[in-house]
Amino acid sequence: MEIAPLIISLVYQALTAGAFLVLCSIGLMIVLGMMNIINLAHGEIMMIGAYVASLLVTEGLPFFLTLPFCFLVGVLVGLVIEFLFIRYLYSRILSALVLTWGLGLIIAQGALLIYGPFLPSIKIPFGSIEYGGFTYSIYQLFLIFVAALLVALIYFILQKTELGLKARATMQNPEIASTIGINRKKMFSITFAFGAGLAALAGGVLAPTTTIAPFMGTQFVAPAFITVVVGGATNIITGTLYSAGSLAAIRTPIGMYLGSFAGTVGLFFAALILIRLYPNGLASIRLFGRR
Amino acid sequence: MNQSSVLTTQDVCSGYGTATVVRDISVDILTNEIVGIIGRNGVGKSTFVKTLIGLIRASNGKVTLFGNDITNLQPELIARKGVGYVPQGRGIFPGMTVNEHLLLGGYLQRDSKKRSKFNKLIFDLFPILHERRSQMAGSLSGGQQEMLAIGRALAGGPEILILDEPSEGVQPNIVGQIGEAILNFRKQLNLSIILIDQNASLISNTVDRAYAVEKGSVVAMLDSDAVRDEEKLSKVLSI
Repeated sequence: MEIAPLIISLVYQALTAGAFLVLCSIGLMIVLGMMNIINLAHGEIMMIGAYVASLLVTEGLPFFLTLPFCFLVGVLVGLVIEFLFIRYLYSRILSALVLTWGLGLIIAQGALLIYGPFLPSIKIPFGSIEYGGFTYSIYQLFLIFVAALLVALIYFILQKTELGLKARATMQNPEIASTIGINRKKMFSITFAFGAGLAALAGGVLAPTTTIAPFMGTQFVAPAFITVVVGGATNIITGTLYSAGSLAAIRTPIGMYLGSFAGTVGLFFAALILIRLYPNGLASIRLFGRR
Repeated sequence: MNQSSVLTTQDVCSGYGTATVVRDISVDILTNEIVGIIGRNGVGKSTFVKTLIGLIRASNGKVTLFGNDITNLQPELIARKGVGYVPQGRGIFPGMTVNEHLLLGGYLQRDSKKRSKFNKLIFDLFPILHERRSQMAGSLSGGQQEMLAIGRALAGGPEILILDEPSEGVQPNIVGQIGEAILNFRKQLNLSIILIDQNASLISNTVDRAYAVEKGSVVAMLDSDAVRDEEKLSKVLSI
């Protein structure tokens, strides 16, 4: 077997796995990494995104035009959840955990009651290409692009915009932020809604790759939490990139040679070891002298 | 110079839960005046200023800014009306750079020209902040963090600045520098300042007069002669 196509295939698979982890965790990293809220309804908010995409595609809207609606519905759901429940639980981590777990159950059961056990799946766009005996899905390449774009966008918003700076200040010290004119309630609300919007958008983007069902969120929750916890909250962008990158780099070769199940087991072991070695997350590693 | 009232309190009471810490404090801060609020640890000085800026609710009394009632407004609204606050312990955001702190403070002023004028003034007052502008605030020394906290509050262009224990945990030579900076920006910005501190030398070198607080109440008003008398001051501060 030629070595070049094999390496390209390995890189493609690693990037695909990394993009999946980034997409799964991107909303959670905002809510858990910045707000310290353990949102166990994260998977169900992703499911809402997939449902919006499926329902709108069924209504005749082209798939790519459904994605802004996935984001907007996620933002709306986030605003309602924050306004009704989360704002009373900011200093009560365990209460927020139990509440979001319950909300997740209600959302999933509600979807089952209203729409039944399945929604029509979405055809994977673009088709595939072949190179060196390996087949590459163009949509998976698109997912890699979307994951990179979202990370860049979040970096830009958090580091370079007034809203991002205010959100970061509020998450670090809400009381002091309020003394420099920042409305902390508004910032918490916006941040939670933005996290929910990103989760729903990720759910919509991943919808063509999976079965659209009420409990589909569970498949995203574990990888999302692992990525965020391994990455740590010191810096959510570098944390997510390091974490998704290293976990994908471990999972892919194992999966390629020993099968998908072994790859997943390898990922869990790698996560255990990384958490043991870097309890504050991979974001706490100083690569270039200072963060 | 004809001085008018900037910030006034009338019989302000406040505390934590059912415990009253501040009892019937009335003060009057005039334009371009530096007023000390002095007393031992735990007498309610910080609780009083937190009540002024809306972080703690007043259970009784009235706070006015330029004659307008600001009692129990949200802290962000009070900040937008021109009250700058430098908290005890500095309250910097450790994961943000010096520049980001000044930007955040500056968002209170919508005029970008005014913002750059204030930034220039802050960097003139504290040149070290300019040198360290890309550095994370959490990695600065205590004195530099204090300068940053003052800079952040000044960047918003306040009418009155409240400094809570700026000398705490800061080297003596830096305390002197902070004292000089306080006098300097009062002069340049025509600011009113409330200074809470237990450092007798900082108080006597900077304030025009001071209220002495004990058990949550004002027990004496020290005029400009009295605040220059370090012996008298030390007695009040129980050093």
